[in-house]
Amino acid sequence: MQSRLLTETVRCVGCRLCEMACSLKHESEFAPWLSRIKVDRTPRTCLAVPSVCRHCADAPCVAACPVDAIKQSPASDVVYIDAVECIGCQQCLDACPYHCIVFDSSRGVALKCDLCNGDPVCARVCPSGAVAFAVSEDGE
Amino acid sequence: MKDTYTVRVLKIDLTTEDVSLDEIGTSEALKFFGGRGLASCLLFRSTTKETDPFGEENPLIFAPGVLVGTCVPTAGRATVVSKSPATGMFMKCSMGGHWGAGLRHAGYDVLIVRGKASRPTLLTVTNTGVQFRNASTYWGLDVREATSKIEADLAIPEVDIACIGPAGERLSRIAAISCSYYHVAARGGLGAVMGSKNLKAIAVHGRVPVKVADPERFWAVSEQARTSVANTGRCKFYGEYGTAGVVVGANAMEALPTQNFRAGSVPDAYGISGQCLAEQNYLVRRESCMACSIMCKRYSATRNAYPGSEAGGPEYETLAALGSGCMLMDTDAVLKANELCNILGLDSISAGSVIQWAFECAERGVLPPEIDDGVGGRVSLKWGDAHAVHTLIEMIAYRRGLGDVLAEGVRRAAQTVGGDSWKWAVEAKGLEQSGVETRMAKAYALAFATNPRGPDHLYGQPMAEFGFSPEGRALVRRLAGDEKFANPIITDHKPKLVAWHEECFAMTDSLGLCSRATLSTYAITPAMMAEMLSAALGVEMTEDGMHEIARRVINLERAFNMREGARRRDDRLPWRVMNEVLPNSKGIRAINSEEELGKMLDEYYELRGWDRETGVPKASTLRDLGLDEVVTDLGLTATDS
Repeated sequence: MQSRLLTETVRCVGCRLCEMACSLKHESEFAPWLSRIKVDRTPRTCLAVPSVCRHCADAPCVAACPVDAIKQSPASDVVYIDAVECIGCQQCLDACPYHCIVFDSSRGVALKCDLCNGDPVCARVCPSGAVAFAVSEDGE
Repeated sequence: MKDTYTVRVLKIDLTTEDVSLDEIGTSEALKFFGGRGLASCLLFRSTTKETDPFGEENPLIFAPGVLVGTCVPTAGRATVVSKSPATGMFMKCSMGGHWGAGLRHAGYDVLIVRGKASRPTLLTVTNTGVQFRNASTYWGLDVREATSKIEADLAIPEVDIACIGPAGERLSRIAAISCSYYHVAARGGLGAVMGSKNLKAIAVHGRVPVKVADPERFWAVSEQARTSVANTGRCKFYGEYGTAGVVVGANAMEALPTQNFRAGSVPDAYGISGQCLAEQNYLVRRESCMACSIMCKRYSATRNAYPGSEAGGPEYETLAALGSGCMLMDTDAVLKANELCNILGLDSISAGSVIQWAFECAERGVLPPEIDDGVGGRVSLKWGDAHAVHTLIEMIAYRRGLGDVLAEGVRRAAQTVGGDSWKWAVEAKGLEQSGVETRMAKAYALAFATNPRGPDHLYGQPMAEFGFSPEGRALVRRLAGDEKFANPIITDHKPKLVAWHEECFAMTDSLGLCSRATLSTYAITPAMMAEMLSAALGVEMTEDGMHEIARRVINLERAFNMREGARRRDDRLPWRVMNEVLPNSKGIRAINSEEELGKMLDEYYELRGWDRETGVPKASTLRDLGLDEVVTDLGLTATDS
């Protein structure tokens, strides 16, 4: 069984509720720059583009990590970072083609989406349907 | 009280380039909520009757609400307060967008700007410090050009910018402050206060987290509020059609201000409605302010004329002021007018109002039917003339020709033009009335009369009186004892309704929420707001406690105007709505009379603990609220009770 967060740019209204819910859930404070989901805003044209980890089948971040701190769960395909093993080299940030890994400079670790153990808060708070959680039995 | 909440007040003097920081502890800050309430208190304390709105000593205070930067739905708003150049009295504005959160992330809860820079200045406020930059290259640019150029020059990712346009630079008393491009602190000429300080823009950015005392409890109340917003019909309506969606209903009720408040409807309002924008593809996309799940903000583009014209909005108020008010019913032309106000930095309500007034002046022979546009062309002052509306907006922003007179606002313009023109200057306290027909809505009439800003909808907003929604009707039942009082043309119980709404508005602004969630839809209640504050600040707050703080804020803001010399006589409505019957087909004699307003004012003052004859808060009322300092400032004695 696979699960994914799907984003749809045309629906995104740029409210950033996803970023704030994510940072509260993972950091217990509101620090949207540490959110694992990112909304890129262009205020001039009111355009907002959400992006979040795809949990790629052949994840470039996993391959780039020199210490094997990034792992992919065999059961759920979720790509996650073991914060204890992360050495803060940021090679995963460079490797990710979607720029979906953030770096917490205060702790010196990379952070990424772990799908909140199957109940991602970003999808729950999104008011417009721009971020949705989808589970598929066959992995498609 | 445990010190869980410290308000960081950044004080900047543009004259001396001094920067300092004050910290205000929990009990003092919570006396006024923080946000708007605290900003009003700081304004009261740092001004006197002698303070000139354009003087160096007049502070411009920005205060994001207490919950801004959190995941509570609609918690994205910042209040701006100052002494208004339009009214000479208290002014608070509230702006959405993302700027308020940017200031909090820079590490500050309140920003006070004083003094006057010796050259055009751009302030940058970040968590690494404050900088005064030369803004000469941005001076003269419109809001969109300047904001874009500043963004490019600063090269700070996710910077948010509050900026003025040519109208603010030229000290137009109807100039706005624009933040994040299209979110404006519009009313009362605060853009001109910024201009008087030579302050072109304030850029904010930072990475200071916003913390809450009890994250789990906070999450729970956020979920409750979000679910309520998602399930409230009126919220869905605003998400679908924006505030512009209200135009059609207001027109059907014959309460859409038309032709400078001479009528309450147009034959067909579809062209200036949110429904038209959505269905005819004028709507490019929906947008939200920070943390807002209502999604009422629009970004719209013209289709059949004025190619390339795009902007945030238009809102209901803009469509009423520049559309039906000016008899301009062409969708593309109204969108163009909205864009011009946005980028030139004008309050679209006041701009529409002075243009309507000018058209009426020409019709009645007080102004010539055709005037110079100041750059070699001519403008016909004619109802519904798109060229005239667009050109007049530019003339006002740049103070060209007649625009120089109109830029002063409609009260001063009428004094200049003379004759009977003051009778159709639809203003009170010096502020142009916003787009609600108070002759058809008696709670609104009272709320407009007692509003310290002047006759507008963003201090009380008693929409429950229309009985539009089950939530609104339930509120009327609770306050007045029976749903039958959810009827806009009867006056019974209206003072109670107005008082509740004013208090709810003070909480809403102070917490940084949007009135769209708490007042016009009633999706977020004062009880929920009390729970939000409790969870965020680690204090136990009740609904009654919230109302008490709100009353303190309202009394303080009232006291500001009383110190300026305002009295009961100033709690009035524009001459037109008190002396001319609004034509309508419902068989109602729609007018705001002295007798009717007077009776409501008596009851309202009684309810508030204010003197019936003068409207001044009684010393005992102020003392009960812990406002002893104000008693002295108003020159009240112990016997004034």
